[in-house]
Amino acid sequence: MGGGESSRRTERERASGAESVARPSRALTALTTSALAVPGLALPARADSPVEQASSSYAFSYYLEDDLESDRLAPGGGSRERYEVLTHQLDFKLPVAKRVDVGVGFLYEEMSGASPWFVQPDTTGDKRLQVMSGATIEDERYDLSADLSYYMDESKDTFSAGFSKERDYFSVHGGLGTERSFADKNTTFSASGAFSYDWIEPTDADLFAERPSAGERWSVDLFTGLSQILSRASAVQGTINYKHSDGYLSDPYKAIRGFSSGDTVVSDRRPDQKDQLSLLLRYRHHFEPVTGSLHLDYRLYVDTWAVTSHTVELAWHQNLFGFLTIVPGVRYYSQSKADFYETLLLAGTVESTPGDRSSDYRLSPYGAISGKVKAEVALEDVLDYQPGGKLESIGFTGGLDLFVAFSYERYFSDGNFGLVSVGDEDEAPGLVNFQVFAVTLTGRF
Amino acid sequence: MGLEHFRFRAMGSPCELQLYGPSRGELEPIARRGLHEIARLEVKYSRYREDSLASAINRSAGDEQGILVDDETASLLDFAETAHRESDGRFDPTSGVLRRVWNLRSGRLPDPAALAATRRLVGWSKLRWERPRIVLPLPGMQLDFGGFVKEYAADRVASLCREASIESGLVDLGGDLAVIGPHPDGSPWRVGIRNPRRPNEAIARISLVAGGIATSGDYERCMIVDGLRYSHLLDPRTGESFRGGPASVSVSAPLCLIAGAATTIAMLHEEHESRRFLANLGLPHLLIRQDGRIEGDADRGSRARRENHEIGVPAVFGQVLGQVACVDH
Amino acid sequence: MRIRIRSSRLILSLPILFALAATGCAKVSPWERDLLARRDMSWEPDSLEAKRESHIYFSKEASMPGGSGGGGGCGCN
Repeated sequence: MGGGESSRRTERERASGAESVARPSRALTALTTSALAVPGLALPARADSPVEQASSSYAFSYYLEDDLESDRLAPGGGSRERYEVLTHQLDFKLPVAKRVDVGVGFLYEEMSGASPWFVQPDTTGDKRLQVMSGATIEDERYDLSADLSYYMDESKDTFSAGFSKERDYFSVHGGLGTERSFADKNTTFSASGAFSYDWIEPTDADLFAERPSAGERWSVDLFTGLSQILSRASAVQGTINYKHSDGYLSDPYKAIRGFSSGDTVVSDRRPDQKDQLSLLLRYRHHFEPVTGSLHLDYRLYVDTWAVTSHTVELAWHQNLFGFLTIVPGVRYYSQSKADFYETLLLAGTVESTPGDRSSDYRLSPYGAISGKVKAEVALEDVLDYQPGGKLESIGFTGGLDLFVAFSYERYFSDGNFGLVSVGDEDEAPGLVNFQVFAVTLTGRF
Repeated sequence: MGLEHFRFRAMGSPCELQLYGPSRGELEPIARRGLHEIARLEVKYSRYREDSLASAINRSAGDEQGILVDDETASLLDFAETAHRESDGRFDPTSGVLRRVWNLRSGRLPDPAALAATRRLVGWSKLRWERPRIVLPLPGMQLDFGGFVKEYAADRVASLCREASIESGLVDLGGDLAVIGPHPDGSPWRVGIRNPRRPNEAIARISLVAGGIATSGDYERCMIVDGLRYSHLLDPRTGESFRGGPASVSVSAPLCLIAGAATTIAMLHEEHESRRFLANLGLPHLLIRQDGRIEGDADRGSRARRENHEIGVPAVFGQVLGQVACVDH
Repeated sequence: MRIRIRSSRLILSLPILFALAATGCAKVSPWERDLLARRDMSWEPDSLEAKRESHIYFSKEASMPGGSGGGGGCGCN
């Protein structure tokens, strides 16, 4: 079935002077306009509606960081092997009433590996080397979240809540959001607010002088966004996200090497407040002749720790044979450093100005490039069955649609990839490269 | 919220309303309203009923004063005029008279003199349509609403259901479909397109979220004379049974009325020109060639699949339509 | 609040640009939304992937994910 093929051939044939077919598609406009002029033919504005069909998705992913390069590891600085994470995610979406649906998400994650601890100079004093954490960390994370949505003709209101738990960390969050549409759903406005509270009990606090035994923080997250349909085949979205965090915001497992009267290692200390602003612009365009869609995203981020970052993501969704979609994508990221970021605290800075300090590579100036590819297969009507009464009441309709996707991502970060070049004394030796392998299964029942 | 089926016969075809609602009891009055609307349109536009408006218009043929029509009829005539113009004359409600000389049951070709005489009565350009007055100057001229009133009825019933707050449902009038709304979870209706040579089978499936689908095929009625197949599709420009067109065309459009006009027009083109017409028109469509091959781009935003095995006609079609008396391939 | 925004003018002009863009757009009627309804034309076709990626980038970079707010963080290292 090649609609695109027949349109291209049409161009050629038209160019060669073929005639005697009815005129081109202003015909459709003419027909539609006159048909719509018939009284009593009202067309619906498709309202958003809750799911009637229960659906569930499961994803498994394996995240693996590259070993730290041997010329970046400080002698005696621990293991070169970095992090690996195995993650399981499970989501459900079910109808519960005529205008209400419920979503539930579980996550379970196993993490292990060594992580960067502090930075020290090499023998020449020019290069920076990474010291890794002594013991290999092994940790698990559980995450549960739920949301309830209420639908009206032109709006949708959502309440969400959840918690997250690791061995040394516990977080709860809750939020409310709304979506309103205008102009026949050509324009959609959304806004939400969320609050979260985190408790941290760093492990081995007794072994390290400046590691607190407990910490707390809270955050408020405000979001607003506007989506606009531009044409039959394109749409644009802009969103603004603001977050205020207050409390213990430092990383208890990181430190910074100081040089004044002797060598000392002092703990990572960050301000106890942080304001963040993120602006995101997204564009989607579908190209009919090739059944492919373009995704372009740009994000600008600024915060009160002086970090500014730019992110550009480009992806192409190519549909093949109707059931297969291949999605190659690239991402470019560049960030500036936090104003209290130092790889080392040089003479005179430790005692005299006991200010904020961190050698965490995540606050360093750098850029990152990643490439990814995903393949998704849609298997519709793969199974037919008779759901019982109970199953029907929670949205099982007797046919199973299955979607399977495989994806791979490769990520590289480096001080020289950023928009502004970075000197050796600032470049974090612990910048990470990683790979992600993921498989996702989605079923609609 | 459950799905209820209401099956009935109307406009000479098996019909079905599929409506989502809290209970059959609550849906019944709405289904009944839909049936009344269909009955109203049948009475108003049927050429078989003496008391219909269509018959009144046809009786006025030869009268220079013509007849004044209401808004609904006027808008339908405006639509017919637009379709006539956009199809270079292939869509023509005055071609109904040709049925008098083309008697498919007789097994005989029309008498050439009778055909020539009848052809003089065919042609939209021969009548005068100045809203709200329609004048059929030649005695014997006829306006046939049958070519689009079923599609219009499907759209009307869908509209009425939406006005009655039904958000999900499908109207099926003998294969002319109008969507009231997608399934409550937003997923589309899967419509099977009948295999022209084996009408119990679906040859492809189209997903429909809104709008309507109409299908025209040459398999519905035909006759064989001297080994040649003559279908019921008559070309208004020549008065002859049209040859060389596709076996079947299905079009999906914002309204079933538009879809119906598009399929009628597409069937009156030679196969390759029909493809070009449909591609130019810009609506999702499926064209089944005489050799059985399927072409078209009905899978824009949805999916059309070939069904090559015995699966039976999907539920949306209800019963089989009529006999395919002269399948000779 | 000590946000040093060198692009403050850009940020302030975004809502205005948006309003202008919105008024200039042709209105797309409900029956013409077949392409826009495609899964690959949605803002986030794969929500699990979006959550996972956003979590990974948030853990390894300094920035906050841009999408809809809410959701907890983690004690990521």
